[in-house]
Amino acid sequence: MEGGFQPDLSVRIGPLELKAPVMPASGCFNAGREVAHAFDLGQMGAIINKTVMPGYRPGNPPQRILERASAMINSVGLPGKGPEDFLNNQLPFMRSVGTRVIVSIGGLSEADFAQLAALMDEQPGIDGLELDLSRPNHVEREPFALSAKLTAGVVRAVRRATRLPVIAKLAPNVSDIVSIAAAAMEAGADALCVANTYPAMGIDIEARRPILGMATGGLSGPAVKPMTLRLVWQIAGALDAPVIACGGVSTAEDALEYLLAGAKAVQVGTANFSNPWTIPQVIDGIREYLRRHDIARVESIIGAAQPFRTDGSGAPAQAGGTAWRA
Amino acid sequence: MALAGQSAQTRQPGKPAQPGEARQAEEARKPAPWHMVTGTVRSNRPAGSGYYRLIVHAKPVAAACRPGQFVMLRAPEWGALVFSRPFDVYRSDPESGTVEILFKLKGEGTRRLAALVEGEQVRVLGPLGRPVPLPDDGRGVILVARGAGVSPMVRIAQECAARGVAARALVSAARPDRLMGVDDLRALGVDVHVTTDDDGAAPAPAAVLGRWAKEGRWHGMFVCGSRRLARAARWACREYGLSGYVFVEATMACGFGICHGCAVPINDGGGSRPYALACVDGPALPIETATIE
Ligand SMILES: Cc1cc2nc3c(=O)[nH]c(=O)nc-3n(C[C@H](O)[C@H](O)[C@H](O)COP(=O)(O)O)c2cc1C
Ligand code: FES
Repeated sequence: MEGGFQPDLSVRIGPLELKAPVMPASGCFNAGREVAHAFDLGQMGAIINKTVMPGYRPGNPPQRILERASAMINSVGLPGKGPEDFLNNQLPFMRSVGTRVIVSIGGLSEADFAQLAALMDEQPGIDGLELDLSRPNHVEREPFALSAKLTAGVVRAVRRATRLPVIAKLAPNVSDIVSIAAAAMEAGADALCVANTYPAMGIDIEARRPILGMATGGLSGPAVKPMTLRLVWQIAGALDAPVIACGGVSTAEDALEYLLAGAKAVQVGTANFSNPWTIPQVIDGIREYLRRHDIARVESIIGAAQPFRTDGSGAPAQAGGTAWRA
Repeated sequence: MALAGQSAQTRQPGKPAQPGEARQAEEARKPAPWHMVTGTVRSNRPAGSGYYRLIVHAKPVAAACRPGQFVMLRAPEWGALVFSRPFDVYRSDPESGTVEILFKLKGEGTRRLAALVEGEQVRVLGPLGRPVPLPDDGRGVILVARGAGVSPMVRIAQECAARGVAARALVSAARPDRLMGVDDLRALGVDVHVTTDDDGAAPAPAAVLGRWAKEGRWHGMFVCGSRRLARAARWACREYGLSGYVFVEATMACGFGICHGCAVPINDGGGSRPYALACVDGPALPIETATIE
């Protein structure tokens, strides 16, 4: 390869080894089929489906999405055909991609999550579960991830139902993200995904009513990155919990900010819509950065921007945090 | 590719298409994979009444584009915009490798596209959506459009000309100077009839379409740009047993089925599937499926 060496892009997220620190965000890639002709999905660190819910769901009434400055607001409402369709029609494709398979599950109760976790536990070829605890849709129920107690309850129920690695996907709109992150880890999560969308809305000033069919939705895209970056920074500074960052990544620079803040990997959501090649471009950009700085392993920059960092392990040595994994 | 698989002999006027036939017609609409290319603007000119005609060199897209499909466009300077903008293809030419778009200035995105000049770059994602089927039983098609809704009709007319399928059009506008695409349709051999809102003597569109539908030489109708026209066409299709497709619109983030943002309500016969995705199920939906109330 011209320009010299091949940096090692692999990262370890709790029990999960990924070949690269970049993967799609749930709900922003389907199961990958629509983009499979565009690039080799196998170069991604993992593939993640759109959150599968316990049964068939039509999704929310239109209008479902709305564009704002450097952002979008969605209230798609988790449309889907349910677990059986997922197992028959999506999981086999995800397995065929040749990377880690992370299955995003959701539900309206602890029992929903536990049942789906048990079902996934029986399937071959799944490397981990991501729990969508944080959908900002209050119509059916308040997101679990707004409360440390509810978060811990779901994680515990899932932990009992499966031996698979569990990633808890947190909500950004909380007053103390670290306490909720800690509760999820204490309840048995192996890693955290930080974060989901920010509750938001838009109003049609001519019609004088909300633009979205459900009135409110979740904000995502470039505008949220500085805010989610600070959440990742807080958690990585306080806890020894593996964090997957998710919010507004559309370039390698965005991903590098998150890695330097302490994230082990990043997810790409909204950016896939406007540029389906975002994920491979982010991976290439990270590789270029490492080459330019003569860094052999991406793991050695993880958390590098955190204060009091003492070694290259990525583990922040800041006082006040709890070491969850020695 | 026979639309709905029926022939003139077996189809009874007044009898709607059979479910099996409809499924067959939908099967025939499987699109080829899309491309994303940096296209070059060949020309970009105002077309009157706030419309622009943009011609872009984007070879792989032009080569793969079938009637009824659309493209997502994005100018190099896109500011704080996030979504690319969807446009029905007006014409595509595999020889010259160009696709042509007719668009109306509406907001920030179309303003940035309108500012592009010859030689500048524009990103083209496409072709997207499901192509529409054309009949091969000797009958022709009726094209019904208003405003920029004429875009897909010109592309369909191109295909009709290439395949020797007869086409007649009803093009509507508020005033005569707002009629779009009439000359281009005529140049493609379409028998074009126009109707304008300010013409008090004009017969109602439903009456016109009903009269045409009755002639027996038309297989189906395509409608774009007006719910009123879509309702008139649906009535005529039902009454005389023609097939029909209506082009639907929705805000789109991706254009290729991964965001689920472009849902439009559909008639699912009281079933459990109340929405279709405009980008991958459409943009043309069977006229009995689309909700045009
Ligand atoms: C259209 C859309 C659908 C989404 N669907 C899901 C989903 O099914 N499950 C989930 O956990 N998150 C879902 N999300 C949230 C994203 O996974 C991600 O957390 C969020 O968009 C922030 O990342 P981004 O700024 O890169 O998009 C969705 C986001 C969008 C924009
Ligand atoms: S625009 Fe994204 S699914 Fe249709």
